[in-house]
Amino acid sequence: MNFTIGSLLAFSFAASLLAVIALIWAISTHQFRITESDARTVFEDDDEAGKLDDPTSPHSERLATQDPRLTRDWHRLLIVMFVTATAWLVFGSVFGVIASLKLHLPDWLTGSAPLTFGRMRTLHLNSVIYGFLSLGGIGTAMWLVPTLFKTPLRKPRLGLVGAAIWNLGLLAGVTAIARGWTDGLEWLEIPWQFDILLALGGACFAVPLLFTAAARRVNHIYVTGWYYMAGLVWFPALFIMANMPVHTGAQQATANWWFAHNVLGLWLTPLGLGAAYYFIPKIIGKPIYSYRLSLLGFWALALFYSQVGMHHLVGGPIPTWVVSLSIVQSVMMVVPVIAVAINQHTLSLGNLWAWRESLPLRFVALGAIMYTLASLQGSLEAVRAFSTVAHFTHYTVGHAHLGAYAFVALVLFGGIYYMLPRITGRAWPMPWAISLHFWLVVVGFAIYFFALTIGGWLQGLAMVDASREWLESMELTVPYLAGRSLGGTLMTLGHFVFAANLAVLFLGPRRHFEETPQAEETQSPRPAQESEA
Amino acid sequence: MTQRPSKRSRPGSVAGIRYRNFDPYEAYNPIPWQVTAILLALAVWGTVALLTDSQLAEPPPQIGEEAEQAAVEAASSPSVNGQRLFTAYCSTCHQANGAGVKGAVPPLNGSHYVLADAEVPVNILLHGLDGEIEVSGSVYNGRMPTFGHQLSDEQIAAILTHVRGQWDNQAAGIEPDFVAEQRERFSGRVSPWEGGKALEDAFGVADTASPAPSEEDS
Repeated sequence: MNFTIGSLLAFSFAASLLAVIALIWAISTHQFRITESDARTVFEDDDEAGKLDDPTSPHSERLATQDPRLTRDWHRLLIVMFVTATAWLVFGSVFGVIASLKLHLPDWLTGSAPLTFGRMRTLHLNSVIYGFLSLGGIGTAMWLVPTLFKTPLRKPRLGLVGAAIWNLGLLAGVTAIARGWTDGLEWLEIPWQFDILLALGGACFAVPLLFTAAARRVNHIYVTGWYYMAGLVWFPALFIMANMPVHTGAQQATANWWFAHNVLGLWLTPLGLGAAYYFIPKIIGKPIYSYRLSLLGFWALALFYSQVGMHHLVGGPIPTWVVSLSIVQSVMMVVPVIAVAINQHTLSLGNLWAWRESLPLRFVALGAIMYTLASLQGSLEAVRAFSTVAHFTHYTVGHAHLGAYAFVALVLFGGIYYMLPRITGRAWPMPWAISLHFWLVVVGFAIYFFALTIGGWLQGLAMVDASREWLESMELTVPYLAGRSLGGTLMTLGHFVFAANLAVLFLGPRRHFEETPQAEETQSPRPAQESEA
Repeated sequence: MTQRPSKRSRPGSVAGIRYRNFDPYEAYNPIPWQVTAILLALAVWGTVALLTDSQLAEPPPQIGEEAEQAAVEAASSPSVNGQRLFTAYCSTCHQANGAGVKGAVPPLNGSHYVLADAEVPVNILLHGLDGEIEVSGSVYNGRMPTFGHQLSDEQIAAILTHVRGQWDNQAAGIEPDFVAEQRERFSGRVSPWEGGKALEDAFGVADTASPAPSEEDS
């Protein structure tokens, strides 16, 4: 029995490996015949421009900079997505700060059960993952997918229904968690009754995007589209399978970590990478380095990632080969990460002027770099020799935030700063606040990450040393935990600044948004050199 | 973007962009050979790691003749079998050297429960333990799994013969028939023993093992 499953999984590693090697062979021998014109997502004649500049429309003052295809419901949907995402971000980070403070001020706020650490931490996790990152990521997809496919978003009303269901489901879910009703599994705490609402809401998000993809007006799908389309397939499969009440005992733990890690790699990563793959070249105005690397990065992620999560169960009561396979797959993730890194960082680091010029790019490009660092760190952490020390310490928490926050959240911040003026036709009312937001979260996160990484490592060393009392491993982390609270507070302040900017954008006096005039003149940045294909 | 371009200070472009009508696309550069080299190196490492790990973790499954031979071997010298079973079922917690884990898992080496009358360790294995128990001067409060359903009389006898004769332990071996007897004796029992107190009540083995030898061996 073990032998059969073990060989099946070993086979899956071999199959993934062969598939990637076959892909590289196919790419290098030009089995994929695309032409330069295919590789560009050709902009078709913009016959819809002006159509919506109807003076009777409520958006009659719409400017040329606002996407002319933007329909009223689509516009509304995007705003709902980003506003609710921001609200979840603010709530979630306040919970996070409270949970963090409790680690070194254990007697604070102990009066009522919902305020205890276990619930605060869980509220933080669910609010930021399913609230901010998921809603913000899907919102970005709902802008980018139609933009890339040169067609308006289809069925935006269904999306609005989805936003309502998702938000209500999540609200019900976090309320249940605050009241102590959970499914008892990390990342799957929301009771399954409310998970049904999330699944329904997710379906209402997926259908408009799939219809938009089906109605696309370009032949070649740009790499961002692959990640979004794949994420749309992966996440529902993960979420529904992991929530099925068929797993028990050690199997449940396996399914739990399979899900929890895949949420990062097969849901948040596609959302973040897809956005970064669009915004970095779009803002800089130069193409991504290599289509072939995009292919390799995407397919290697698809092939290697799904079995990564079980390295969390190292030393646990599951067969060793499950963990071993997971470790090997985790390390293989170096391949897609390097592919994506070369593609994105050669562009952003080769154009440092753009970092100075564009605040959204700062967020997105820095976030993309953090993806590379988080992933390489993750591959290292999966290795047994390393996890002997780092596992079960605050080190892991630092790593999780490097991936989910420094990568995905930063990319989303940049994306929202870029998109909202184009969606609303309004300029950001407080440009200085964007800069303030950037520095607060960057400095805050640096403090947070280094405090947890150093503190966690020392904690791990103390725990594996049998001659030291276990309590010592706790006590030595206290100053680092205080540092983490400081960093977390700075990040949360940044989020308040972000939310305030957003509020003034919508509620304050209107300031029109215009593209820089010289941008129009210096057109056709297409490189002259012909591609070899 | 601020209102008037002339007033732009660094960073000038708040929602900025260089070319408005630029659409992102990918150039058609080759995959750097270093990436392919890293992939191949990792593939080799992964294969080797999987192979060595699987050898370390569990004996390869034996099929056909080989398995029969191993069974014959095991039957002729129970200690081999006991050693293997101990590694498979016990050593994760009690460690290969029987020293246990300080503060979490009691040691087997020198434990007065292991060395007590054979009925004591046999019944601990058959039913498990759940509660406070004092071994070699330290108090433990954990849960020992119930092996009665999982292991046969022969296997339990082999494990205990191994444990009672290994390291510094020098107690008599245990026969499968004896295990069967004990299984019958407490066949009504559905829950684990409730710690050292329950064992004292049932078998008269001292609950608090003071440094002074309380049982047949110290």
